[in-house]
Amino acid sequence: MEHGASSYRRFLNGDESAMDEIMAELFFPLVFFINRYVQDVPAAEDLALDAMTELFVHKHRYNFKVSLKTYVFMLGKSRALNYLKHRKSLRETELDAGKELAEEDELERHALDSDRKRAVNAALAKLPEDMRMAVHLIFFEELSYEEAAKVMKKNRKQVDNLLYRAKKELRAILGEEGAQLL
Amino acid sequence: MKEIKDYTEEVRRRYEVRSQTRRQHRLQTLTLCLPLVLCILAGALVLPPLLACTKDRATKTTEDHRFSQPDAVQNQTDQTGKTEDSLKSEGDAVDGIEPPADFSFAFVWDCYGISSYDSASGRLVKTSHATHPEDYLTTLNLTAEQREQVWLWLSALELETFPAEYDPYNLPDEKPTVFSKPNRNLVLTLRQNGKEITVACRGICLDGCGEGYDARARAFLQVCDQLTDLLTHTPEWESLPDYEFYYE
Repeated sequence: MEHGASSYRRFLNGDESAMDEIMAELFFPLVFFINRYVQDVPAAEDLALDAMTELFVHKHRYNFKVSLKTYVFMLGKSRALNYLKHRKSLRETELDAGKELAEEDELERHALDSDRKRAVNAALAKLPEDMRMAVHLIFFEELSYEEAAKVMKKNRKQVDNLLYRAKKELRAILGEEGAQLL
Repeated sequence: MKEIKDYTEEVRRRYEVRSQTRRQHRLQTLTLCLPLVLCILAGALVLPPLLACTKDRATKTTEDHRFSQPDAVQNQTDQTGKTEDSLKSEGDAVDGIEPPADFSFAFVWDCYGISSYDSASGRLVKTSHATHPEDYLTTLNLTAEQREQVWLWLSALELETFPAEYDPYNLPDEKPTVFSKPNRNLVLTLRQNGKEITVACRGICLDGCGEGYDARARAFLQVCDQLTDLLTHTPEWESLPDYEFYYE
């Protein structure tokens, strides 16, 4: 239930320095998570900035019943899906493929702190979206099954099933050694 | 990719902008709503007394209209032929409305000879067509309520607007089309405030020829019927002997 909740309480009490702490703890994971949907790092950054701004502007929408991270990821997911819905009309210029890859590498470097996670991340691209999200939230963001289910708007059993099937897929991709990474 | 402090600055900037926008929107909403709320409040404060005042005025106008329009008498008539006004007045006769001190009336009508009544003298004549007319003569003093009732009927008629010679069944200046043989006479006299007004209907159609050619005529005939009814349903009238002669 932590993940920045106490910092957010301080922010609500007028301590604006708490914003820095919340940003430091949640921003890059959020960009990384949103990028799973949008596959566009600048767009993911912008959407994450928007989600974080919303968190600070609408001060009393967060009710502390879920962790702050879960709430922020829910905001991020909602923005990412909206973005995808309108992507065709929003996307005016093709991104430079080389630049995009460099940005993703840098984002990965910010968000993932171990080679083990990077190895799994590389294999995740080959999984269907639901499995990818379940692994991302449980494995990378270390959310509980319940929290991941809230973000994905699924129940715990569905998340459990997705993870089970994701492990089987990763075993096929990475071999027995890869599956043990999870 | 930028450093986290750059993103934090960007979030802070967006936060300031959006907070300011929200404040402006709130202010705009308030600016728009405040006059509306004030109007509603003012309306809530002003309207009830205004409505009450209008209602009073309307009631007064209706009262005035009752006494100034002969057509007002033309309300729904019940089975006994009495108007709604008369029925109401019989119940709570003319609260707060007094006839002038010198008010009196006289009414002459034909029914197997000439019948008449003069409230000034109280002289009531059942018929003049008899071997001994004095047997058909008595005195009738109307009660205060009855006087007021008659005064209301006559006031509502506005007798001064009728011609001295009047035929309620036929349009003036036109050849009579509604008549009967035998015919009848009705003479109605109102005295008040030092003035005397008499409207005479001579040789007009007998009762049962119709209701009169317009609302005023119908009102006139109705008042005559009410007066006849009032005078002939008194103990004084009923104590007089039966008619000696009838129409042949």
